[in-house]
Amino acid sequence: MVEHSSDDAVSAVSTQLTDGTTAQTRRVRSPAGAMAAHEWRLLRADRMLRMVAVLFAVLLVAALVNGVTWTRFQAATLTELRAADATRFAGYVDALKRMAPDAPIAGPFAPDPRNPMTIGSRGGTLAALDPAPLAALAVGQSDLLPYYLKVNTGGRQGVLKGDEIENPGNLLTGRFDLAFVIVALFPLVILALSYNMLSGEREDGTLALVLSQPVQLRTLILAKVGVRALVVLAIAFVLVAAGLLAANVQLGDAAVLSNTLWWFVIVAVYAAFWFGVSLLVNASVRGSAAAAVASVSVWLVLVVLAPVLVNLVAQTRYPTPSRVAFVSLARSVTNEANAVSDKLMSKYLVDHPELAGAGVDMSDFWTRSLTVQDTIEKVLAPHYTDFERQLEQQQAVITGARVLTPALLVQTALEDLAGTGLPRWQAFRAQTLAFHQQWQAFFIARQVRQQKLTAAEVEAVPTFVFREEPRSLVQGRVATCVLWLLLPSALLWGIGLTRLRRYNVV
Amino acid sequence: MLTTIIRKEFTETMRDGRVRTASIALLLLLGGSLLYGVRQTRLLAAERDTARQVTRSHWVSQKPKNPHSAAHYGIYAFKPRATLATLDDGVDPYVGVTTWLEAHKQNEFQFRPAQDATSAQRFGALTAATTLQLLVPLLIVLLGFSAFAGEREQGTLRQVLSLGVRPATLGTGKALGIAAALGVVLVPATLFGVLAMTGIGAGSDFTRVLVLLGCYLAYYIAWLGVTLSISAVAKTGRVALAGSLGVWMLVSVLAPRLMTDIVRALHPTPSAAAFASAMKRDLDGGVDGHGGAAERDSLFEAAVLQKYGVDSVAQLPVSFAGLSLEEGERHGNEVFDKHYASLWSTFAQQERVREVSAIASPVLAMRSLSMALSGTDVAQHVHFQSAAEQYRRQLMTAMNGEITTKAKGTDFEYRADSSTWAKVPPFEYEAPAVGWVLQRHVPALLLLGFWAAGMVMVTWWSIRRMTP
Repeated sequence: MVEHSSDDAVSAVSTQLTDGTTAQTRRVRSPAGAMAAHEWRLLRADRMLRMVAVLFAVLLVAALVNGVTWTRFQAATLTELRAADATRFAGYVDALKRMAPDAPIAGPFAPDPRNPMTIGSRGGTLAALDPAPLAALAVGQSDLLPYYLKVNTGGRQGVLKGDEIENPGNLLTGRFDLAFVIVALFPLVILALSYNMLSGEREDGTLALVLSQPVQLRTLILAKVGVRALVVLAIAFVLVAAGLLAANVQLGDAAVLSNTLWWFVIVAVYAAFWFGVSLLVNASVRGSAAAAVASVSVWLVLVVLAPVLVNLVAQTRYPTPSRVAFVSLARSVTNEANAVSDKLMSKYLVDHPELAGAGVDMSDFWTRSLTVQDTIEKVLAPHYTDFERQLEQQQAVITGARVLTPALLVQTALEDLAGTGLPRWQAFRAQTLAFHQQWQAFFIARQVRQQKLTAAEVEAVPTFVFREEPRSLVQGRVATCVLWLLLPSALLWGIGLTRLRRYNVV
Repeated sequence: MLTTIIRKEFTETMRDGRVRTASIALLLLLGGSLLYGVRQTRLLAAERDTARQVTRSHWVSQKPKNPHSAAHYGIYAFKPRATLATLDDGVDPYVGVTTWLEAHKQNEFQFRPAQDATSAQRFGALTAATTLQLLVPLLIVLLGFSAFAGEREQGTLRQVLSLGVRPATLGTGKALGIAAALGVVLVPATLFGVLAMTGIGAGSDFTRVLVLLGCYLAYYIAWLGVTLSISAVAKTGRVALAGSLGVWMLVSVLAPRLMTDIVRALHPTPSAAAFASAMKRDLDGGVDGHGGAAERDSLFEAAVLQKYGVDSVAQLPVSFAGLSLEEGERHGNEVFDKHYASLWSTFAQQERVREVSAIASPVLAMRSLSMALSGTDVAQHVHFQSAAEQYRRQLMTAMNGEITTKAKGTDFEYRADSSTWAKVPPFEYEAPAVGWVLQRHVPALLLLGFWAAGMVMVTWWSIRRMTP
């Protein structure tokens, strides 16, 4: 990882010697500033560090490209689906305008657009979740959860299925996206650059030399951390900003810009956390090898193990009900409802007096099946809520375990800003289900009353438009993450700086 | 001499507090993940057994109805939990648990368990496999990084070599000493694992377990080799440690993720929308995109009339509806075969690229073999999907045959009774044999072997050329 070759060490000593003199002769410059300039020269001279920085930059760019590619794939799919939907609806309107309105309909299954179920059930419509402007910054859950749903008058189960095709092997491993680079690799880059800030110099014998100058250890380490932080953050910020511009993201838009700024904030605070870890390691562990082991152990526990364990606790404590059992249950309920469908018909009309009266044909296939479906949905409703409640409880456990899992905290915040996390999807699902009811109401009422659709009505069919969560809500969640991250960071820095007082330089 | 070196190495490593802590932590993680895996397997196996019985009873208890209505009612196929999934979940959380087998359609699998979880799920699952593949190599690094580099730094390497100890003996001794220290963790863990697995009836998977153990042995030999050869060339302990940790990060953290996007770019999958519309085009027309449904129907009718030597459908000795439904299934199956075969071959190609890239990372080979032997890789999911589809086709043929032979003249008014439903055998899935599995993972097997043998050679070579 990080190692001064002996030549580097010699040149490092000489740089420090010459620079030490310049720092003394040019007193106007603050000692911290001089130290920082120092560090910068040292860092530049270190081949390993250059390699780490270049690798980090390359990985960032690769991750951005992957994010943009995936976002474009989704956008292209949605454009095609919307175009197909628009053509289909134009076809209905066209046919209706050319039809004699009173001509008889050939039966319940005739693809006649006057038959409400032709559009309502068999045709249906699209509910789409467009990638948010910053979607390229985190693939998040967008490869796993559907980004469009087909809505028709059928039951809720039918609406919520519609997965994108993906090799499960890829879902298991996860995409190489920017969130992964930030959450998992960025800490490694920080630790690689800084795990031996003090031990390295001490082992090279230069630490005592530097501190023989009128410089405090604390100033020295702050300068070291400062320069490293500037380097890694500059790489990340410049590349991401350039990437967003290259991908045509509308940074002029206030909402997009403020989300981008929040992205910078969360990354900076996450960096502060890991530099805090590094500071503590530097202050507490004497040898470089031991410092490396300590750094990797902390990374392993916080980035690899903690999220997995928190997830384990959440899932064991609030297991989602079995989908397998649910499938069997839904089928039993359907069988029972079908068996008593005659009774259900009259009960349905009692429940929906507005539909009773003229035009209701009890023998109509659709009226019959819709009443059955209505009953099934009523019985299954509490089970649907069970799934949602358990998932919410799991989220609550994870929210509760925040301080313990900075990686998870940052992951959720990055997904939130990219609009690829669970909250935005849950909003999409909720809005789709509300729209589903609206759609059902529109078509079922007309079907039960045996009304024929007209061209004007088809043009007025409800359409789905996703309403984004309020920006304040999203940024509020991100701000909470920032706060929860600042807390342990401050603690690490506090303990680290205090321990530094007792650091034995020789 | 050899035993002295082994004993010295073993004692020294075991005295290291960090090694002791890491070993205890690993043992706890392994034990915990095994217990959790056993619990999951019990739970899931029971749940799916029940579901299988329920779907069967739904099927056989149907009221008298037309066999085609029964075909539309269909049967659910539930994916069984492989016993060895206790060790490695593999892709199981990312594939649907059930599919509906109904007339005319090959349905997708529904309800991926990961969709019912938060994004924490994506950080990975705590399984014995994760611990064995990611964390044990770290313990190996911790045990072995200072083997030569540490002694070189302290100057003892020069002393030992000056005593006339051959470098090869020294290397073998150190490797065996570290292996012994590793055994302190792995032997009890393996015994516990075997005990736990026997408890949930994995006895029939004996061969799979044996091959899996062999793979892990090769995998750890490769890691020991990486650690020792880096230690042999590194000037100081800290350089050796940094080098080994760097390799670990590149091959275990970076490589798998990078490969996801690389395999996707090399062998892209279609969008679900494009897949569905291409399939619809073929279902509506011919498989080759020519000829509409009407044209096919009239051709089929003519062929049937000719076969039975009659002039009209009414004169047929069998039900034309049954024949025509079966013909519809045949056409559908041809379309499904074409499209799913192409999709599944894309998946297989993606997995193949991932495996071949194990040339740069032994983790990729081990991961793939672990999933394969645990019965939770992509190939075995596709195997189950195909088995379910084959069952659907048999079911449809049985129902259509029932109409063809018994519904003459009455076609859709014909009612079959429950004896007809009971005649359909239940869906019994047989997991593929270990040979079938290994055949699909030849690159991984070869590359893992290559890593183990190659690293032994590299270690041998670097120890012999070692400078004190």
